Amino acid sequence: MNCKECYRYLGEYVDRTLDDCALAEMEAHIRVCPKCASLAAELGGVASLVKSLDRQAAPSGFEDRLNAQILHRKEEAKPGLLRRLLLGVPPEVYGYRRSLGPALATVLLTAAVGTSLMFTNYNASGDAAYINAVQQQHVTFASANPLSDESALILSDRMKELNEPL
Amino acid sequence: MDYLVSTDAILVLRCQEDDSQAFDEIVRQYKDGIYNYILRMISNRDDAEDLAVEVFVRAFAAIKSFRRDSNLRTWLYRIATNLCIDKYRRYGIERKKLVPLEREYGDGEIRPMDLPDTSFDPEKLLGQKELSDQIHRAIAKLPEKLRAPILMYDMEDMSYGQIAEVLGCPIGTVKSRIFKARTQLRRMLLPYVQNT
Repeated sequence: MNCKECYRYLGEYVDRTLDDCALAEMEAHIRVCPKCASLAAELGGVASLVKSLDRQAAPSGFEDRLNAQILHRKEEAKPGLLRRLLLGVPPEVYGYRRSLGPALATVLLTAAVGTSLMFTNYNASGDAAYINAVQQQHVTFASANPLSDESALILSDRMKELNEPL
Repeated sequence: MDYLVSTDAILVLRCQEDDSQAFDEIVRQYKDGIYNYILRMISNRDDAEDLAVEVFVRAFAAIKSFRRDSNLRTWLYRIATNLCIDKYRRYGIERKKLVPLEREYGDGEIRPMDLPDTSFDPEKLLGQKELSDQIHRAIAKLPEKLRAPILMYDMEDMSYGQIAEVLGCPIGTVKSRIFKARTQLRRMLLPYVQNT
């Protein structure tokens, strides 16, 4: 090992993190090289000086200050009064508020579909009763589809004939 | 260290289950180390306390999304390091404005401190406190990129791997920075180093 290689590994040598093989090579070189030996000792001295610094403890009241800050941040995170009034729900139910739009749309759509179905069914049931009444009068249909406009007109005329007093 | 890691994992799990006492325990365990680290990084007691409080406020806000396979300690120190860097960059604090190894002499000129006569034993001339001040001043003169790893390694007893995780750089970079920091400190503290 030469001085250039030794210099490269001096940091790890000082920290004692070299593997056994590399450590042995470093020690062998340092034994015979006063310059590298001096540098290694000085760097080790620096590490010792830094380690010797007193560790400063957190000031008294640190946890109280921390808890006060956490509470303050929680307050800041709450929505303002105006927003709460407009939305009309406490922030705890914001989860529900987010799904209100789709839910409302579903309700409206269902109502629209249901309403249209109601009218459809009314007409269908009206048609069915009409057809039933006509069938009981032994009236045949001109068209295979009794609900087509043409058949409805024919049925209408026939029913008028049936209802007229003889 | 493995015991500490598993204890931290348990504390995080309890925090994520809204156990406030668990977070109090995390603060108790780490507040001194975090405060000390930040103080050595920015050399100002009031700001160091503010930043240390901010570390734990941010940790509290983000603990629910903390991945349990991560290391709690390195996470806290990463928050602390980033806050210190932000502090420097936001307020434009430069190295020379921190506690410098300079003094104003009788003629009003500010020059680098004259190194004491090395024939005297510094430990006889200066008390331990003054020696600590000298070391602290020397550390404060280091660029932040070198100051953080050497503080974490020599003062906080973190490993190369943990420091790499905090700084988000390879282990080789951590070793290189620690080495450079020590060579610079050596130049500034040579009389004291030669007497250790």
